[in-house]
Amino acid sequence: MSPIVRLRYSVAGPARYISHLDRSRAIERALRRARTPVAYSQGFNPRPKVSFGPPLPLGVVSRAEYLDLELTEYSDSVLPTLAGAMPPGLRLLAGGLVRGKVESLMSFINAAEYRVVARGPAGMRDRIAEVLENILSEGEIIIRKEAKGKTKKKDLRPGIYELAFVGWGSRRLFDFTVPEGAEDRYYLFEMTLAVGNKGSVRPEEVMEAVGRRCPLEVEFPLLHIERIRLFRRTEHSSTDPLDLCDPISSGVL
Amino acid sequence: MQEHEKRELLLSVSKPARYLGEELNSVHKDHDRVEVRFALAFPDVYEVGMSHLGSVILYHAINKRDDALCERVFAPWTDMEAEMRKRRLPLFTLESWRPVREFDVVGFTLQYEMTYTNILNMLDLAGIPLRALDRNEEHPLVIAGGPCAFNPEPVAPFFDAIVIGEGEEVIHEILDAVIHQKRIGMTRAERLRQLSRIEGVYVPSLYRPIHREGAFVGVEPLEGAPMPVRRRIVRDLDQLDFPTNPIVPYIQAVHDRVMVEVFRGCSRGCRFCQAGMIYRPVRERSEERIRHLVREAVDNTGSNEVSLVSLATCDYSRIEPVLKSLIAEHGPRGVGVSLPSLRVDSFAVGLAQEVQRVRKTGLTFAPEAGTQRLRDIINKGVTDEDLMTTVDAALSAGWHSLKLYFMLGLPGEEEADVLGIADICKRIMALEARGRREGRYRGKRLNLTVSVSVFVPKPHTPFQWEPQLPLPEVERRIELLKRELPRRRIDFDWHDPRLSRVEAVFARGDRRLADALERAWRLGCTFDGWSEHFSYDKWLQAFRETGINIEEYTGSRDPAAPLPWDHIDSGVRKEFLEAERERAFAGQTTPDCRWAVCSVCGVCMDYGVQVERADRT
Repeated sequence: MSPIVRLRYSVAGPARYISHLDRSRAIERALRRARTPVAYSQGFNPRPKVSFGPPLPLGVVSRAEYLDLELTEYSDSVLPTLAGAMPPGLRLLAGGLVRGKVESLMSFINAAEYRVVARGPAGMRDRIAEVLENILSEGEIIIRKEAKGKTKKKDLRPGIYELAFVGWGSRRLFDFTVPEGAEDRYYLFEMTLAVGNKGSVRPEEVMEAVGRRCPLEVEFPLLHIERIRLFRRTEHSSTDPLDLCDPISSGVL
Repeated sequence: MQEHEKRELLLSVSKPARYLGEELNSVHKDHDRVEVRFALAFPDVYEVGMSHLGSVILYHAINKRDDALCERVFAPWTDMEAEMRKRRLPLFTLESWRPVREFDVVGFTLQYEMTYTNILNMLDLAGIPLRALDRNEEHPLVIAGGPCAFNPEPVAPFFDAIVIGEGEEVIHEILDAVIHQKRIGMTRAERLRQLSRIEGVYVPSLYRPIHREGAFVGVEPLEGAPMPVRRRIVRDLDQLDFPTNPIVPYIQAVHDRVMVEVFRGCSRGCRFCQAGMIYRPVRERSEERIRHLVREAVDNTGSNEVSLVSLATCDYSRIEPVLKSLIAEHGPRGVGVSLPSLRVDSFAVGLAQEVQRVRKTGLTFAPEAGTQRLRDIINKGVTDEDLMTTVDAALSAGWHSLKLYFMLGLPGEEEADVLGIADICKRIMALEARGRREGRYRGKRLNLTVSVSVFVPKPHTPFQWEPQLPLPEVERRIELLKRELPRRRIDFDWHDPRLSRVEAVFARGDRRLADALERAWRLGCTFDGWSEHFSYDKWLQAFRETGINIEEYTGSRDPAAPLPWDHIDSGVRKEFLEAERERAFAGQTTPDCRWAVCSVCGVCMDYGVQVERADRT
């Protein structure tokens, strides 16, 4: 059976400004530059056997994206070589060999953790804390979405697992720095949301609901969003995609 | 610009990757450690500019020098332009996001007349005076090059200098001169005079066009400027550096593949074709060199497609062996090889079969004209029989989507020639129906696309004196063709004849058109080559307000009268063009000097160059 390597990579810098499709093309080119022994699909138009986790929208940065790579043969040089061939903004972080039968990343991953920074007037901490408390105590959180000329309602509540307003503390953001002297006008949120095949909630949708109750700038270009974790969430546990893998000697890069 | 401002700007526009400048293989140098900084400007959107081989070549040629840097700038798309104007952000280069006006030299490429308004718009966004005469010691030198430089007059007032011909060698002479000028601190006027002494460099302010009673009578060189301005030609293509580490865009360019140039020039001698005149003679790279360049390019980019580019790649003397070896070497890595255009013959279909194991795309051929008589006039060496055997070969090999490209309004075209296009299509459909009955063709039914554009007379061609067909007559012939073409499984599309009209005005324009161009830009014209942005009404208004009579520019020219581009020497002699014109109207064809006798166009004799063939080394 051909070995399958699961990789964790980050998205920042220039790579945040491209679509998921363009990013997957960039990775395919890196595979070719690195001469990674990737398996190709059969047929007239052979394509490398790569499968990705839930797409990351244009503009969002991430510390933990995943892809599965089917190889024709595995050697310890595969990962370091590929890491060296990645284009600016995409970095390989860790990898492992998938054990046993593979459940696709898309169906395995059902939750994502985000950090979101929104701009607003100074001195709103108490107000925001109150707003979040109210939102979470409600049975449903309805936003309206325009799609193909129709307005559709969407209830965000089932897809919000956690939502908190946090102080800066020791948290360092990825690919984002608060303009100097403006710390009191930027507010940091953390949230865990549903993602994947069975419905998903986007952080900007949550922020839209928040923004209705307090004067934060929640339009997308003004928000900074970073995905910090993708995982499988059940009532009692959370499992990282790499937990299902055998560590490989060069697996931490 | 602060980081969060940059992020907000990028996320407010469509396709922010157009402006990133951090792509793989982009070159980032310290501005304080070089002596000359060059902004390479492409007057169209990123995806178009990134598909332009000439820019790739110049970018790497300049960045190879330790004493110089080159950064790119493209026309910002309209949404980005609006954001820039709102934020008072001047035009910047992608690599460093520094203002273009801080560079020493800004070099535009003139690929197509309908990008001219974008040049003015980019200068304006950069905060650089549009006219060379209004610039002072603090402004960059604004220069240009490319095929449209062969008639530089309509844009002459906007440039300090314009390069005629191939750029690889002259760019270094220009950069050396600029470094020297900066060191010793010359005035702008002295600098331009010095640049004009470099062969191939045209400094418009040193040439005065003369008009008498509204008619152009010639150009007068000032202060001893050279006359004529001779074109630059690279002698040995094999010895020339060719970039195998081109920038890899994060988004798909118009041509999303890595390009390797297999030869330069084309001597088929189609009489309407400017490229076939101004890039002579044919100079082929060796097979070995091509294989080496392709290998490096694939390794450095990871691209899944290599395009062998030239004006007519099927004409490369060793095309079959080189294709076979490239496919054998790169096919197993999932890398395809592609040909940008196909010749009308079954040999070309065979090549297409080699490279396109999947019949995923259609094939395109350019018979250009509907009858043998007209194809002889234009010297398109394609017979009716060639066309039918080509179609038969394509259908037999399993293609079911073909596109044919024709021109309307060619010199000598009669109604029978227009009907000839419809006739060709009918014969092709009949051929297909018969082949299917006889079981020779299988799979889907043939779908034929007929694409028509309007003839635009171009400078330095045998047809440079010919008129463009008046608009109502063009429209009548399009209607005629539309009526005559069978509807079933034939798609008909045509290039906007009004756009071709404006293109024709500028292609053979003189310096008086500069005012019309500036006026059109001030009326809001940009991205004219994009049909959704082109406004014929604004152009008509601009011509009217600046006293330009379109008919005068699109009409026929007197072969005895001077032409506005006579002071630009393309290498091809005017007597040759005149002789070719006469042969055209006598229905005589002229063979390709690569395979037959020399046709005495003059370039080899006058420039000390020769035809280089890969099969003869």
